[in-house]
This record gives sequence, structure tokens and C-alpha cells, in this order.
Amino acid sequence: MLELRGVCKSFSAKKEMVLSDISFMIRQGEVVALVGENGAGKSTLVRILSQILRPDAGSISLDTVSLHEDPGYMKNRTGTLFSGESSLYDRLSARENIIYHARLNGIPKQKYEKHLKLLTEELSLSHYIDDRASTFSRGMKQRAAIARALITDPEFVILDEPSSGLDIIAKDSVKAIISRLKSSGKTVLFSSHSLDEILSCAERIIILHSGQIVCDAPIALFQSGGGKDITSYLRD
Amino acid sequence: MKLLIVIKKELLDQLRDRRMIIAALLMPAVIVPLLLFFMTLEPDKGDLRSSVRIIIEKEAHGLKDILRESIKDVQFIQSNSPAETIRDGGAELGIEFARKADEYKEFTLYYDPARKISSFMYEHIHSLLQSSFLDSDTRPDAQLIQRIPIRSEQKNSSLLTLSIILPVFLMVFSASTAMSSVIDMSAGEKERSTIETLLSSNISRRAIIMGKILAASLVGITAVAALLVGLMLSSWFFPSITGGMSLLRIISLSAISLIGIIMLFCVLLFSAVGMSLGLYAKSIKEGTILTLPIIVLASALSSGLIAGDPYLIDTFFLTIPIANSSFVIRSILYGNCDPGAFMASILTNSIYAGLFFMISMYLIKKETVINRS
Repeated sequence: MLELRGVCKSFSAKKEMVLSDISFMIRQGEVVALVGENGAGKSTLVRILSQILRPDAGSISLDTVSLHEDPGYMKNRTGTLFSGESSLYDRLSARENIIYHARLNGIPKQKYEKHLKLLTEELSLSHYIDDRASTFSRGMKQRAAIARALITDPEFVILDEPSSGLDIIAKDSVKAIISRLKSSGKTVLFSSHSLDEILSCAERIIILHSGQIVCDAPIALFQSGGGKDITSYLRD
Repeated sequence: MKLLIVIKKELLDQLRDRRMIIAALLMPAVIVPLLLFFMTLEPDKGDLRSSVRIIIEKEAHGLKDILRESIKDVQFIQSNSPAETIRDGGAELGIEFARKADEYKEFTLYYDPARKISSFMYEHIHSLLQSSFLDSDTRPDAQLIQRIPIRSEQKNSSLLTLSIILPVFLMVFSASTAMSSVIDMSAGEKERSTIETLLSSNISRRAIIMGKILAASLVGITAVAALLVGLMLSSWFFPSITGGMSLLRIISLSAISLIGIIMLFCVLLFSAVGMSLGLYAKSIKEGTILTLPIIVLASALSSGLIAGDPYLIDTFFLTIPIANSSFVIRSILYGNCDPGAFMASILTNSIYAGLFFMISMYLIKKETVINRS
């Protein structure tokens, strides 16, 4: 279980709160969509959960273990896909990129090789797994980056805009991945701008607006015919 | 173990960078010998140093007084083998003489033509002796002063050439290759956005910094090895590029290894400096630009002591990184490496490398630096 209490973040250059009093809880095995307009603070929240940024205030814990007291506990159990066009080492192959991450996280060879095989098939990477990342299209890079985030077989998966820049088929495979993670009991927090993806994958939705949570509700609230409109929360 | 993983990955990454291969292997091995073909050396005349050691017999009455009057601070020492003592750095000049009825008849001057202070003293004392004892009216024959350089002219020329160019080339190429690599490993991580995944991995930031600095150092030392091998081979086939003698005929392989050890610590320092600059820079381009002054500084520090003496250095200069290493390289070339200066150079460069490692640690923990874009 992931728990955030009163998390705040501001950047000294801007002096304005990027995240303000963020509190929520994600249960084990729950799939939660993080929604918000550009600049709402989604990526900042992802970076805080991945321990790249430190919150100015508030606390974060995974399975009641405080991130502040034992940062390694959460790192060992979290796999993150960051947003952005390219986040691979261009001169390494997709396989080398993925294995490098696995080895840095102390995953035994037997385990990561078995897992890599599964991810290669699931993300249709097999044809270019040994090609250098510099030759990849954006979609290919994104799929390799997703495989890298999942190679450690993490309990808690954070996917920041996983289908960004992907074609329809690749978007479907992202959906399939999230469904597979869900069925295998993984906890998933993903951000997305795709309503279709949110409605078909998430069980719960957290909407961020100007660094604050404006809605935290089950997805069913938005799914039914007369359901609420997500975009209505994003307008001032 | 994770340190090795970082090193292995960084080396693999670097080996696949064509720019790195060109910078680390081709440029040092080819450009330096080419430059030497077009380079001629004309060393400047050195100033008369305040302290000069002259080998002279104890019973040189009158002569010592004249020398004392002419030279500000002179020490007289005795030696059975003046040439050897001068070669070992124990003196700047040696005077032997023959007397008849308390009158000085002939002189033999030993000096080191590769050392400016020694050459200058030779010229100074030659004219002093001529005017004081070999008056042109009574003894016009200048041959009465015999001149014995402690090395052959060819070796002198080679030593002068190498002592001027080798430290500069070694510093410039090792600085440029090590820093170019480490900028790619640090600023490049930001540019490619791979830094986020790296920092979210379960590896300490200390291991990341250390792994990258060591990987860059290996790239830098490869450039040093390439330069030395290129110079050894090219000077073997074309000795004229190093003043007439090949590098291997001037110094032994073990002496070249000593130069390699000195350079290892210089490269470590360059890598640590480059890491700090690369972490601060928001792109490879910015990082590369930031390293340019360091390369120029390395060049200046390595050439700053060229005008000085390869046998003597002020203790103060031993505390200046790169400059001290440059002095040690020159003293190795002259076959007079002082173990104290050697260790001081290693220690100073290691301390400065440690300082820049600490700066890098500070920078990688600073959010405003890591998120600069």
C-alpha cells in the first residue's frame, strides 16, 4: 500500500507551489490513473515517488515503510517509466539498456533473462531487441523503456504517459501490459491524456489541477452513460 | 559489483562513440607526430638564477673569489666525477684547472647544455675566465678553456624537444579525451533524459559518480598510452621529429611507465573536474564549452615550467596540480626523477580529484542542478 500525506513541492526558481497538500492512498493491486492538464504537477509527483525530487513537506510510505527512513525499500519495489521522448542510451541496444537497469537494481541474471523474454514478447520487441536504440522510432523507444521499467518485476509500477507517441497497435499493447499487471496483483499508478486508456484500464482516478487534487474517485463514476466529464475538473 | 557494472556500461557506451575513438586514439597517435615534423625549437635564454652550484677543487684560491664576486649566490662543491654529478642534478657547472707556479694555465668546463641555467653559467664563466686569467695579450688561444658537455649534442636536442612538447601534449590530450567522455556521461545523461531512470535505480549516487569518473579515466589513460606508443614508434622510424634520437633511446620503458603513472592521476583529476562541469551543464554542448578553459589551463600549467629547470623546483610549485606533474615528467626525461616530487605530484592531483569528487557529489544531490534544462 502506498500512502502520501500532505506532500508539497515548490521549485526555488519559481517560488510557486507545484504540488500542494497531496494526500492519497493506493491499495495493493489497485490501478490508479493520474490525470491533469500539462503543468498540473503529474510528472513532479512521479519524480517525487521515484526519489529524484524530495518533497518540501509531507510523508510518503510504501507498505508502511517510510520513504524518508528507508529509501531503498521503495526503490527495490518500484519500476518507473518517465515521460519524455527519449530516455535510452542511444549507443546501447534495447537489451543492453534493459539489462543495465536490471543489474543496477541487483536483479539476478536468471530472473531478468526470464522476465526479459516475457516482456520482449508482450511488447513485440523481439525483432529489434539487439539493435542500437539510436535506430529506434519513438514508439520503439517507448516500448523498450516500458520493458526497462518492468524488468525488475516491481510490486509498484509508475507509468508517466506510457502511450505518449505510440501508434494504435502499440497503445493497445500498453493497455494489455497494464491489464496484465493488474491481473498479477501489481499496484499501478499511471498518468495519461488518453480518456480511452484511463477508462479502460483504471479502477480509480486522481485528478490534479494546479498542483492540487480536485477529484479522487472510482472510475465507475465517469464510465456510465450519464457519468461525470473528466475535463470539467480541469477547467478553472 | 555495481561499480563494475557502471564502469562496464560506460566503457561500452564510450567505445561506440566515434568521436571518442577519434579523440582518444587517432588524434593523439597521429596528430602529435605530425605536429612535431613542423616544429622547430629554439629555447629562450634563461636568467641567471640566484643559487648556483659549481664543482671546483678545494684549493682554487683566487678563482673562487672571482666567482663569488661575479655570481650573486654560489656554492662550491667537490666531486671526483663532475659530469656524473651534473647529470644527476648535483651541480650546474664543473671547473677543472691546471696551474703552474700558482698561475692558472688551462681550464675544463663541464656543463649540461640541455639545462638553461647550466648553459648560461658556462657562457658566463667562460668569458669570466678568459678575461680574468687568459688575457688576450698574453694568451690569445681560446682552446685553453676546454668545453665538455655532459651529453651528446643529439641527445641534448632530443631532450630539449621532448621536455618542451611531451608534457604539453600529454596534458592537452588526456584532458580533452577524459573530459569529453565524462561530459557525455554526465551532461549526456541529462540531454538524453536517462538521468531520471539512473537516479531512480537502487544504486548510490556515490557509486554513479565514482563509476563514471573511473570509466572516463580509463578513456583518458588510453589516449595517453596511444600518444606515447605513437611517439615511440614514429620517433623510432623518424628520430628527427624528436630532435635526432628516438624516445626509447632517451628513456627506458620503465621510465615511460613512470610517466604513465603520473598521467593516471592527472587523468583522474581531469575526469573529476569534467564530472563537476558535466553535472552542472544542461547539455553536452554546454559541458564541452565549459571544459575548454580547463584544457587551455592544463596546457598553460604544463608549459609554465618549461622555462624552468628540470632539476630544481620550488616547493610551492609542487602544490599546483598539472604543473607539478609536468615538472616530474621533465625530470623523468632527464633521468633525474625525485621520488619526493613524484609522490607530491600524485598526492596533490589525488587531493584535487577528491575535492572535485565532493563537488560532484554536492551537485548530483542538488535538484536545481539535476533539473537544469
